[in-house]
Amino acid sequence: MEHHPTLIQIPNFLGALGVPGAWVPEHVAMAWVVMAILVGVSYLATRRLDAVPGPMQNFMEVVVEMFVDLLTQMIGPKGKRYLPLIGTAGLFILVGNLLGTVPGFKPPTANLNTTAALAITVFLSYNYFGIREQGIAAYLRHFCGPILWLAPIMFPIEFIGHLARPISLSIRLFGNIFGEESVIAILLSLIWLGIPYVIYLGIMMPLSLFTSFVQSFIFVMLSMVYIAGAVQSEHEEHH
Amino acid sequence: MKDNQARLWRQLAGLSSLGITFAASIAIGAAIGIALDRWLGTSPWLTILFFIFGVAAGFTNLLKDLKRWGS
Repeated sequence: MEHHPTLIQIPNFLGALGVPGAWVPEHVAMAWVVMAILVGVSYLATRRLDAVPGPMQNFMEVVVEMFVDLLTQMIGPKGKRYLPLIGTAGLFILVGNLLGTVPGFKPPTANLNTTAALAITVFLSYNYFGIREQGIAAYLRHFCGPILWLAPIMFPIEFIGHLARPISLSIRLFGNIFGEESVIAILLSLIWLGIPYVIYLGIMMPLSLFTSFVQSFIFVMLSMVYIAGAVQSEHEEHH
Repeated sequence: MKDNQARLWRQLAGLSSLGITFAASIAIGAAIGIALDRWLGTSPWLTILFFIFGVAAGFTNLLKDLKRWGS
Protein backbone atom coordinates (compact mmCIF):
# COMPACT_ATOMS: atom_id res chain seq x y z
CA MET A 1 0.00 0.00 0.00
CA GLU A 2 1.20 3.49 -0.72
CA HIS A 3 2.43 5.48 2.18
CA HIS A 4 0.50 8.56 3.21
CA PRO A 5 2.71 10.91 5.17
CA THR A 6 1.25 12.36 8.32
CA LEU A 7 1.21 16.02 9.26
CA ILE A 8 3.50 15.57 12.21
CA GLN A 9 7.04 14.54 11.34
CA ILE A 10 9.55 14.65 14.15
CA PRO A 11 13.25 14.26 13.35
CA ASN A 12 14.91 11.43 15.22
CA PHE A 13 16.70 13.28 18.01
CA LEU A 14 17.82 10.06 19.70
CA GLY A 15 20.12 9.03 16.86
CA ALA A 16 23.14 9.58 19.10
CA LEU A 17 21.80 6.91 21.47
CA GLY A 18 21.68 4.37 18.65
CA VAL A 19 17.99 4.66 17.77
CA PRO A 20 17.84 3.98 14.02
CA GLY A 21 15.96 5.94 11.38
CA ALA A 22 15.87 9.53 10.24
CA TRP A 23 12.41 10.22 11.68
CA VAL A 24 10.59 9.28 14.83
CA PRO A 25 8.29 6.38 13.83
CA GLU A 26 4.76 7.40 12.93
CA HIS A 27 2.97 5.61 15.75
CA VAL A 28 5.33 7.06 18.35
CA ALA A 29 4.88 10.59 17.01
CA MET A 30 1.11 10.08 16.95
CA ALA A 31 1.18 8.71 20.49
CA TRP A 32 2.91 11.93 21.51
CA VAL A 33 0.19 13.91 19.77
CA VAL A 34 -2.41 12.01 21.79
CA MET A 35 -0.49 12.69 25.00
CA ALA A 36 -0.27 16.37 24.13
CA ILE A 37 -4.03 16.49 23.52
CA LEU A 38 -4.77 14.74 26.81
CA VAL A 39 -2.38 16.91 28.79
CA GLY A 40 -3.77 20.05 27.17
CA VAL A 41 -7.39 19.11 27.84
CA SER A 42 -6.63 18.11 31.42
CA TYR A 43 -4.81 21.37 31.97
CA LEU A 44 -7.68 23.40 30.54
CA ALA A 45 -10.18 21.46 32.64
CA THR A 46 -8.34 21.75 35.94
CA ARG A 47 -6.86 25.21 35.52
CA ARG A 48 -9.60 26.89 37.51
CA LEU A 49 -11.36 24.22 39.55
CA ASP A 50 -14.69 25.54 40.65
CA ALA A 51 -17.72 24.28 42.56
CA VAL A 52 -19.79 25.55 39.65
CA PRO A 53 -17.80 23.99 36.80
CA GLY A 54 -17.14 25.70 33.52
CA PRO A 55 -17.86 23.78 30.28
CA MET A 56 -14.45 22.14 30.11
CA GLN A 57 -14.42 21.05 33.73
CA ASN A 58 -18.01 19.88 33.40
CA PHE A 59 -17.16 17.70 30.43
CA MET A 60 -14.15 16.11 32.09
CA GLU A 61 -16.16 15.51 35.26
CA VAL A 62 -18.74 13.60 33.23
CA VAL A 63 -16.01 11.53 31.59
CA VAL A 64 -14.31 10.70 34.89
CA GLU A 65 -17.68 9.92 36.49
CA MET A 66 -18.34 7.42 33.71
CA PHE A 67 -15.09 5.60 34.44
CA VAL A 68 -15.75 5.62 38.19
CA ASP A 69 -19.26 4.21 37.67
CA LEU A 70 -17.99 1.42 35.46
CA LEU A 71 -15.19 0.64 37.94
CA THR A 72 -17.53 0.40 40.93
CA GLN A 73 -19.89 -1.77 38.91
CA MET A 74 -17.23 -4.19 37.77
CA ILE A 75 -14.77 -4.30 40.66
CA GLY A 76 -16.83 -3.11 43.63
CA PRO A 77 -16.48 -0.26 46.09
CA LYS A 78 -12.69 -0.55 45.99
CA GLY A 79 -12.67 -0.07 42.23
CA LYS A 80 -11.96 3.65 42.44
CA ARG A 81 -8.40 2.78 43.35
CA TYR A 82 -7.71 1.66 39.78
CA LEU A 83 -9.06 4.80 38.14
CA PRO A 84 -5.59 6.19 37.26
CA LEU A 85 -4.58 3.13 35.22
CA ILE A 86 -7.95 2.39 33.62
CA GLY A 87 -8.83 6.02 32.95
CA THR A 88 -5.48 6.77 31.36
CA ALA A 89 -5.54 3.67 29.18
CA GLY A 90 -9.14 4.28 28.17
CA LEU A 91 -8.70 7.93 27.28
CA PHE A 92 -5.42 7.27 25.48
CA ILE A 93 -6.98 4.54 23.36
CA LEU A 94 -10.13 6.52 22.67
CA VAL A 95 -8.34 9.69 21.61
CA GLY A 96 -5.82 7.61 19.67
CA ASN A 97 -8.58 5.78 17.78
CA LEU A 98 -10.47 8.99 17.06
CA LEU A 99 -7.27 10.55 15.71
CA GLY A 100 -7.62 8.15 12.79
CA THR A 101 -10.71 9.99 11.57
CA VAL A 102 -8.81 13.28 11.32
CA PRO A 103 -7.13 13.69 7.93
CA GLY A 104 -3.37 13.92 8.17
CA PHE A 105 -3.18 11.93 11.38
CA LYS A 106 -2.93 8.23 12.02
CA PRO A 107 -4.13 6.37 15.06
CA PRO A 108 -1.16 5.25 17.19
CA THR A 109 -3.25 2.18 18.06
CA ALA A 110 -3.00 0.96 14.45
CA ASN A 111 0.46 -0.34 15.33
CA LEU A 112 0.97 -3.53 17.29
CA ASN A 113 3.81 -1.98 19.31
CA THR A 114 1.53 0.62 20.89
CA THR A 115 -1.25 -1.80 21.71
CA ALA A 116 1.20 -4.40 23.00
CA ALA A 117 2.70 -1.77 25.31
CA LEU A 118 -0.76 -0.98 26.67
CA ALA A 119 -1.72 -4.64 27.06
CA ILE A 120 1.54 -5.58 28.79
CA THR A 121 1.09 -2.65 31.17
CA VAL A 122 -2.38 -3.90 32.05
CA PHE A 123 -1.11 -7.47 32.38
CA LEU A 124 1.72 -6.58 34.77
CA SER A 125 -0.53 -4.20 36.71
CA TYR A 126 -3.33 -6.64 37.39
CA ASN A 127 -0.89 -9.30 38.53
CA TYR A 128 0.74 -6.73 40.80
CA PHE A 129 -2.66 -5.63 42.16
CA GLY A 130 -3.57 -9.25 42.85
CA ILE A 131 -0.33 -9.89 44.72
CA ARG A 132 -0.73 -6.63 46.64
CA GLU A 133 -4.28 -7.43 47.70
CA GLN A 134 -3.88 -11.12 48.54
CA GLY A 135 -0.19 -11.73 49.11
CA ILE A 136 1.93 -13.75 46.72
CA ALA A 137 1.13 -17.19 48.18
CA ALA A 138 -2.63 -16.74 48.10
CA TYR A 139 -2.47 -15.23 44.63
CA LEU A 140 -0.41 -18.10 43.26
CA ARG A 141 -2.78 -20.59 44.89
CA HIS A 142 -5.48 -19.36 42.50
CA PHE A 143 -3.39 -20.71 39.67
CA CYS A 144 -3.40 -24.22 41.15
CA GLY A 145 -7.13 -24.80 41.12
CA PRO A 146 -9.31 -26.20 43.90
CA ILE A 147 -7.91 -29.76 43.99
CA LEU A 148 -4.38 -30.15 45.27
CA TRP A 149 -3.21 -33.18 43.31
CA LEU A 150 -4.43 -31.60 40.07
CA ALA A 151 -2.19 -28.58 40.67
CA PRO A 152 0.67 -29.70 38.37
CA ILE A 153 -1.84 -29.84 35.51
CA MET A 154 -3.86 -26.79 36.49
CA PHE A 155 -0.86 -24.51 36.90
CA PRO A 156 0.35 -24.57 33.27
CA ILE A 157 -3.25 -24.36 32.06
CA GLU A 158 -3.98 -21.28 34.16
CA PHE A 159 -0.60 -19.82 33.28
CA ILE A 160 -1.24 -20.15 29.55
CA GLY A 161 -4.75 -18.77 30.05
CA HIS A 162 -3.33 -15.67 31.71
CA LEU A 163 -0.66 -15.21 29.03
CA ALA A 164 -3.39 -15.31 26.38
CA ARG A 165 -5.00 -12.21 27.87
CA PRO A 166 -2.46 -9.53 26.88
CA ILE A 167 -2.17 -11.16 23.44
CA SER A 168 -5.89 -11.05 22.82
CA LEU A 169 -6.12 -7.50 24.20
CA SER A 170 -3.35 -6.15 22.00
CA ILE A 171 -4.18 -8.05 18.81
CA ARG A 172 -7.87 -7.21 18.92
CA LEU A 173 -7.29 -3.48 19.33
CA PHE A 174 -4.51 -3.41 16.75
CA GLY A 175 -6.43 -5.53 14.27
CA ASN A 176 -9.61 -3.51 14.41
CA ILE A 177 -8.00 -0.12 14.14
CA PHE A 178 -5.44 -1.18 11.55
CA GLY A 179 -8.10 -2.83 9.43
CA GLU A 180 -10.35 0.18 9.56
CA GLU A 181 -7.41 2.42 8.73
CA SER A 182 -6.45 0.25 5.74
CA VAL A 183 -9.99 0.20 4.36
CA ILE A 184 -10.17 3.98 4.56
CA ALA A 185 -6.81 4.34 2.84
CA ILE A 186 -7.85 1.98 0.04
CA LEU A 187 -11.19 3.71 -0.45
CA LEU A 188 -9.48 7.09 -0.60
CA SER A 189 -6.97 5.80 -3.15
CA LEU A 190 -9.85 4.57 -5.35
CA ILE A 191 -11.55 7.93 -5.57
CA TRP A 192 -10.16 8.48 -9.10
CA LEU A 193 -12.16 5.42 -10.23
CA GLY A 194 -15.31 7.39 -9.57
CA ILE A 195 -16.14 5.84 -6.24
CA PRO A 196 -17.92 8.72 -4.64
CA TYR A 197 -16.60 10.50 -1.61
CA VAL A 198 -20.01 9.87 -0.08
CA ILE A 199 -19.02 6.28 0.64
CA TYR A 200 -16.11 7.50 2.68
CA LEU A 201 -18.05 10.18 4.52
CA GLY A 202 -21.33 8.38 4.85
CA ILE A 203 -20.25 4.83 5.62
CA MET A 204 -16.65 4.72 6.74
CA MET A 205 -16.70 7.74 9.03
CA PRO A 206 -19.60 6.59 11.22
CA LEU A 207 -18.21 3.08 11.16
CA SER A 208 -14.78 4.19 12.32
CA LEU A 209 -16.25 6.42 15.01
CA PHE A 210 -18.22 3.40 16.18
CA THR A 211 -15.19 1.06 16.25
CA SER A 212 -13.17 3.74 18.03
CA PHE A 213 -15.61 3.89 20.92
CA VAL A 214 -16.38 0.18 21.01
CA GLN A 215 -12.74 -0.90 20.93
CA SER A 216 -11.67 1.44 23.72
CA PHE A 217 -14.69 0.31 25.73
CA ILE A 218 -13.80 -3.34 25.23
CA PHE A 219 -10.20 -2.77 26.22
CA VAL A 220 -11.16 -0.87 29.36
CA MET A 221 -13.83 -3.33 30.33
CA LEU A 222 -11.69 -6.42 29.90
CA SER A 223 -8.91 -4.75 31.89
CA MET A 224 -11.41 -4.18 34.68
CA VAL A 225 -12.56 -7.80 34.52
CA TYR A 226 -8.93 -8.95 34.80
CA ILE A 227 -8.26 -6.65 37.75
CA ALA A 228 -11.48 -7.76 39.43
CA GLY A 229 -10.52 -11.40 38.95
CA ALA A 230 -7.09 -10.75 40.43
CA VAL A 231 -8.06 -8.73 43.52
CA GLN A 232 -11.13 -10.74 44.53
CA SER A 233 -10.72 -14.20 45.95
CA GLU A 234 -12.84 -16.94 44.42
CA HIS A 235 -15.70 -17.06 46.91
CA GLU A 236 -16.01 -13.28 46.98
CA GLU A 237 -16.74 -13.15 43.28
CA HIS A 238 -20.33 -12.25 42.50
CA HIS A 239 -21.96 -12.32 39.12
CA MET B 1 -33.97 -0.11 30.36
CA LYS B 2 -30.78 1.87 30.85
CA ASP B 3 -29.35 -0.86 33.07
CA ASN B 4 -30.38 -3.53 30.61
CA GLN B 5 -28.65 -1.72 27.80
CA ALA B 6 -25.44 -1.27 29.79
CA ARG B 7 -25.52 -4.98 30.56
CA LEU B 8 -25.98 -5.81 26.90
CA TRP B 9 -22.99 -3.69 25.94
CA ARG B 10 -20.87 -5.36 28.58
CA GLN B 11 -21.97 -8.76 27.36
CA LEU B 12 -21.15 -7.87 23.78
CA ALA B 13 -17.71 -6.67 24.76
CA GLY B 14 -17.01 -9.73 26.86
CA LEU B 15 -18.33 -12.26 24.39
CA SER B 16 -16.55 -10.67 21.45
CA SER B 17 -13.24 -11.71 23.00
CA LEU B 18 -14.07 -15.41 23.21
CA GLY B 19 -12.63 -16.44 19.87
CA ILE B 20 -9.36 -14.57 19.94
CA THR B 21 -8.56 -15.67 23.50
CA PHE B 22 -9.24 -19.27 22.54
CA ALA B 23 -6.90 -19.07 19.58
CA ALA B 24 -4.24 -17.20 21.54
CA SER B 25 -4.26 -19.84 24.29
CA ILE B 26 -3.56 -22.65 21.86
CA ALA B 27 -0.87 -20.62 20.07
CA ILE B 28 0.86 -19.77 23.35
CA GLY B 29 0.73 -23.37 24.51
CA ALA B 30 2.27 -24.59 21.28
CA ALA B 31 4.88 -21.81 21.35
CA ILE B 32 5.95 -22.67 24.91
CA GLY B 33 6.15 -26.35 23.97
CA ILE B 34 8.27 -25.69 20.89
CA ALA B 35 10.58 -23.38 22.84
CA LEU B 36 11.04 -25.92 25.62
CA ASP B 37 11.68 -28.70 23.10
CA ARG B 38 14.38 -26.63 21.40
CA TRP B 39 15.94 -25.82 24.74
CA LEU B 40 15.84 -29.33 26.25
CA GLY B 41 16.08 -31.33 23.02
CA THR B 42 13.09 -33.50 23.87
CA SER B 43 11.26 -33.05 20.58
CA PRO B 44 8.39 -33.70 20.08
CA TRP B 45 7.06 -34.61 23.54
CA LEU B 46 6.86 -31.23 25.23
CA THR B 47 5.32 -29.68 22.13
CA ILE B 48 2.52 -32.23 22.28
CA LEU B 49 2.08 -31.84 26.04
CA PHE B 50 1.95 -28.05 26.01
CA PHE B 51 -0.26 -28.02 22.94
CA ILE B 52 -2.75 -30.06 24.97
CA PHE B 53 -2.28 -27.66 27.88
CA GLY B 54 -2.96 -24.78 25.50
CA VAL B 55 -6.17 -26.36 24.22
CA ALA B 56 -7.23 -27.05 27.81
CA ALA B 57 -6.49 -23.44 28.76
CA GLY B 58 -8.51 -22.26 25.79
CA PHE B 59 -11.53 -24.31 26.83
CA THR B 60 -11.14 -23.29 30.49
CA ASN B 61 -11.16 -19.63 29.48
CA LEU B 62 -14.08 -20.23 27.15
CA LEU B 63 -16.16 -21.83 29.90
CA LYS B 64 -15.23 -19.16 32.44
CA ASP B 65 -16.10 -16.34 30.05
CA LEU B 66 -19.37 -17.99 29.07
CA LYS B 67 -20.25 -18.39 32.72
CA ARG B 68 -19.46 -14.75 33.36
CA TRP B 69 -21.06 -13.21 30.27
CA GLY B 70 -23.66 -15.68 29.11
CA SER B 71 -27.35 -15.46 30.03
